[in-house]
Amino acid sequence: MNAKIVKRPGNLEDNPRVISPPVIQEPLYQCAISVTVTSYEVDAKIEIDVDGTVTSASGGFPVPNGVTIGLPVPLVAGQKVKARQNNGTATSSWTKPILVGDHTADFPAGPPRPVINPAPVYKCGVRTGVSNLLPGGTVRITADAVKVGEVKGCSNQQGVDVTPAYALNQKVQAFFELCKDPSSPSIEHTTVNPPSPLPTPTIDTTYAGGRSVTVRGIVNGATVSLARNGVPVGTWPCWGGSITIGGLAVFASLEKFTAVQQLCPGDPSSPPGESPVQPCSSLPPPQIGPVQAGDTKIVATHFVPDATIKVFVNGVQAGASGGPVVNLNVTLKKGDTVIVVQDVEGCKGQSALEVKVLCVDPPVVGDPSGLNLFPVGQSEYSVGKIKGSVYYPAEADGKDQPFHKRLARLGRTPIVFLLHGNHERADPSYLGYDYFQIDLAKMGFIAVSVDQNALNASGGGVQNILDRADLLIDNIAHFQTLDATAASVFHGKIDFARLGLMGHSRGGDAVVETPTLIGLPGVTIRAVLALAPTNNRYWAGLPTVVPKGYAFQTILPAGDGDVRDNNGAQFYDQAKPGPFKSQLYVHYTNHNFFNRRWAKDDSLNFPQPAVVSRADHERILTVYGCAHFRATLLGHNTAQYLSGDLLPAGVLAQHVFRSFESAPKVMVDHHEDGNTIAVNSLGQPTSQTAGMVADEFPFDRVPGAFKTSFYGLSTGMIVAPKKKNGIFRSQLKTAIDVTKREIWIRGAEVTDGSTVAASGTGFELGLEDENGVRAWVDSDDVGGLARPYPRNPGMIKTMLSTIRFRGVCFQAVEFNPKKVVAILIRCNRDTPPPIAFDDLQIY
Amino acid sequence: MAADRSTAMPTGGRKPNWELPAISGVEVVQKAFKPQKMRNFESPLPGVPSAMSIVVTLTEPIPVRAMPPVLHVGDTILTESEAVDAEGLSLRFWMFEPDQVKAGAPITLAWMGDKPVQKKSKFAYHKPE
Repeated sequence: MNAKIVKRPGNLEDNPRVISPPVIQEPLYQCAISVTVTSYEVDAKIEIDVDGTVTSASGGFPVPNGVTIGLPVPLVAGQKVKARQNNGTATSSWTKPILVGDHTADFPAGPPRPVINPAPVYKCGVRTGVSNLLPGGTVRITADAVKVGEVKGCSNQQGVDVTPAYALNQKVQAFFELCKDPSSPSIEHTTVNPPSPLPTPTIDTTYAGGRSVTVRGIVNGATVSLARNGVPVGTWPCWGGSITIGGLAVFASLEKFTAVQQLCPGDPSSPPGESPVQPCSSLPPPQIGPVQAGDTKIVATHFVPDATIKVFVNGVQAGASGGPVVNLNVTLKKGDTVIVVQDVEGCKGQSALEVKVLCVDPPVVGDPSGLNLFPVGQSEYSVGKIKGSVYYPAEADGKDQPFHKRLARLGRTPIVFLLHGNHERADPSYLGYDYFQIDLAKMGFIAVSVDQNALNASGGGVQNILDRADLLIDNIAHFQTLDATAASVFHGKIDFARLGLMGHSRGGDAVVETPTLIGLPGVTIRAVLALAPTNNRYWAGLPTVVPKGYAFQTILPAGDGDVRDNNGAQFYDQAKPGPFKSQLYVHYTNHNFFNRRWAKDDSLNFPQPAVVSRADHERILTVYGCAHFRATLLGHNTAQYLSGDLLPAGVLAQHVFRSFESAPKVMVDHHEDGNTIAVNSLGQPTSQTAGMVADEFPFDRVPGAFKTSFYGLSTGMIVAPKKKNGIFRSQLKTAIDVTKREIWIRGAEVTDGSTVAASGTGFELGLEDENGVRAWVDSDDVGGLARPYPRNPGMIKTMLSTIRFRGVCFQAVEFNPKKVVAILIRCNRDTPPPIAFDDLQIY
Repeated sequence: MAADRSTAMPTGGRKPNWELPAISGVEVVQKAFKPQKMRNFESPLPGVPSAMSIVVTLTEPIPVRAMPPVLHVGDTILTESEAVDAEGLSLRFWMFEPDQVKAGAPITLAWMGDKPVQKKSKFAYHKPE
C-alpha cells in the first residue's frame, strides 16, 4: 500500500451531510430474530428495513460488536433487508439490500458448529465468547450438561453471561440452533484453574475528547473494574482478551484510568493497569487495509473505538462513519488521493493518513481454512503395509466416532490422501499433518495420511517414487474396501470421484506421478498439491510428468534447504490448468516445518535468512491447501485466494508469491511455439523499439539459459534493453475490449544466482488501441515485480510470479480500451536490469 | 528482581546433519535391470539388459532426506539407487549406459545436484571381467 502519515490538510472541508451507510452483518437467514449492524457513528439511530417494515434503535457504541437489534417477527427467506444510520445531523443512504436466505441451502448438514472463543474456560468465569454462529440464531452454553447461559438473537461472535460461575473440572459446551435446526455442539472444554496471580491489564492509549476505553490482557471469563481518577466507574464481565467500554463522559487530558480484573471471589484481583489520557494533539490517524481501484469502501484496521472516521477522495469528503468499514459515495480509481482522519467527540484529529490508490492491492478477507462445520473423528488403520491415520466429519470429536449422519445422508464425501516424504524411519512422519487433516475434516473432507515409512531409506530415484505411488494406490484401494464394508465407519460414505492428493517432498513427486499410473475403477483425481516436491524424473534425464486433467498446486519454500532447487516449479511450468494451476513461492519457509514430526530446520544448512515459525508454516499449508481442495472438491469460491483476488487473513500472505493460470480469454504468448521472439502465440508479429532487446530463452537449468538462476521447465522471454524506455510490442489478432478484463503476465527480476541487486526494478505494461493511442500502468501499481529471495549465493532464483493489470486502470487521453490491438512492455527504469517474462494472457 | 544472564542454547541440534559417509568398497557387476513388479500398475521404467550394478560399501549409513544420493562415475551421474542391506551400509547404484563410461573413471558419492564431496576418489570404474 502506498501510504504515509501527513498533517491533516487545512483545506479539507468537513461535510456534515456526508454520512456512510452502516454495514449489516451477513449472512441473513430465515428465522433470525435479530439483525446486527456495525460501522456507524457513536449513538447514531439505526434503522433496519425488512421488506418495508422499519425497526429502529440507538446504536450506542459501534465497537467492538455493533448493535444487535431485535426484529418484531423472524426473517423469512426471500425478504430483503437494508439499513441506514442517522447521527442527528444527517441520514445515510440505505445499504444495498441483502436477500434473506435459507440456511439449509448453504448448510444442508446443519448450521456450523459453535466455537468457544477464546478458550480455555476457567473456574469462576462468568462470561464466555462463542464464535462461528449464524446471526440471529440462539446460542446456549452448558456446564456438565446443565444450561448456564443463553442468548437468543445472537451475533456471529457472541458473549454469553454465565450463571452460576463455572466450577473446576466442569465440561463446558456451546450449542447453536436456527429454525429449530441444531448445529453439532462445540468442542467440549474442561474448566481449569485460572492463572494466579491474574495478569495486570493494559489500557489502550486514550485521547482527550474520547469516550471509550479498551482494556486488554483479560483472562477468559474475568470481570474488569474500571476507575477514573481513582473513582470507580463500573465492573463488566469479559469473555477474555480485551473489552471496550464506551459511553463514558468526555475525557480530559491527564485524567487517569485504572483497571483491574478478578475471577474467583475471595481471590485477590490483579494489580491495576494504568493509563493517562493523552492530549487531543496526539490523536493519530487511523490505519487502513489495502485500497485498490474499484473499491467503494475503506476498511480501518486500527482506530479509536468511538471515532468517526472520515474519508476524503481527491479533497472531497466521500464517507464518514464509525469503524471498521467506511462506505464511500464514490468508486475509487487508480491514482486517486485518499485522506483518512479520525475525530472523537471532543477532538478533531490533526494527523491524517494519505493513500494513493493502486490499480491492484487486494483486500484481506476471510480464511479459507476456517470453515468449521463438523466434529472431527479420527482413527488409525493398519493392514500389513497399508497404514495411516484418517480424520473425518463425525458425530462427535474423538477416536472411532460414528460418521456424521446428516452429512452422510446428503451423499458421499470427498476424500484427500496425504503422503509424507523421505525421513528417518524412527519418526512417524504420517502423523505430522494432523493439523491439516483436522482442518479438512471439520469442513467436510475425509483426510487420510498414509504411512510410507516402509519406503523411507537412504537410496532414491524414480523407482522409490513409483514405490510410493504404488503404496498410495494400495491405501486408496483399502478405503474402497472400507467403503464397501458394512461394518466400517466409512461404509457408503466416500466419493472417490472427488479425490484429492497432497504430497510433501518425495511424496509430492509421488502424487504427481500417481494420476498417470492409477487404474482403480471409480477413482477420479481432481486436485493435487505438491508441497516442496522432488522431481526424480528430471534428475534421471526422463521426461517430467505433465500434470493435467486436475487442478495442480505446488507450494515452494524459498528457504528450502533440502529440495533447494524448488522442483515443484518444473511441475507448475508443465501443468495444464484443470481448471486451474497454482504456484506459491513462499519466502522465509523451509522444507521440514510443514510436518510436525520433522524437527530440524533444514534452512540452516545454508547461510540464508531465518525462516518464520513452525506455526506460520502450518498456516500456509492449511490456508492455501484448504483453498485448493475446497475449490476443486467442494466447488467453493476459494480459488480467488490462489489467483490473488483476495488475500487470506491470519497467514503471512505478504511472503507468498503467486503464479496462477486458468483458461484465459486470450493466450497472447507463452513462448513455447518455437516461432522465435518475432512472433507471438497468436501468430502475430512482435516488435522491439527504442533500444529494447528481447529474446526467448529456456527457463531451465540447461545450457543456453540466460542465467543459471532459472529453475523451471519452460521457455520465456528476457528483456534486457540497452537504454531506458525500450518497448516490446506484441500484437493481438483482433481488437479486444479490456474494460472488464485483466492482463496477466508472469514476471521476475533476473538474478545472476549469487546476488540480489540493492533495489528492485519494474516496468510498465501498456495497451495500444486501434488508433495507436497508448495507455500505461506501472508494475509498482499492481503489487510490483517479485524480488529474488536472498538465500545463499549460487542458489538465488529467478522465480516468476503472476502480475495482474486490470483493464480499467489503463487511462490516457483519447485511449479507447474497447479496441485494444496490442500489448506493450516498456522498461522505464533508469538503469533497466534484465526482466524475465512468460505467459502473457488476457482474462 | 535482577535480570538473568545465561549462555545461548546450542543450535547445532536444530540443523540436520547431511554429511555423506566415505566409500569403503566398490563392486561392479554386469546385471540386467528389471523394473520392479508393481502391485497396481505396469512400471513405466524400461528394462536394461546390459546395465551395471555398482554396489558401494559405506563407512556409515547415508542420512535419510528428500534429495537422493547419486554416484558420480567420471562425468556420468547415477541416480537410481537402492539399499542392499538393512543397516544401510551398502547401496546399489544402477548404470544404464555403461558404454558411455570410460574405464578408470573415478567413483564418488554426492547428493543430487551437488558436486562430489571427495576431491579424489580411492575407487575407479572398471568393467567386470
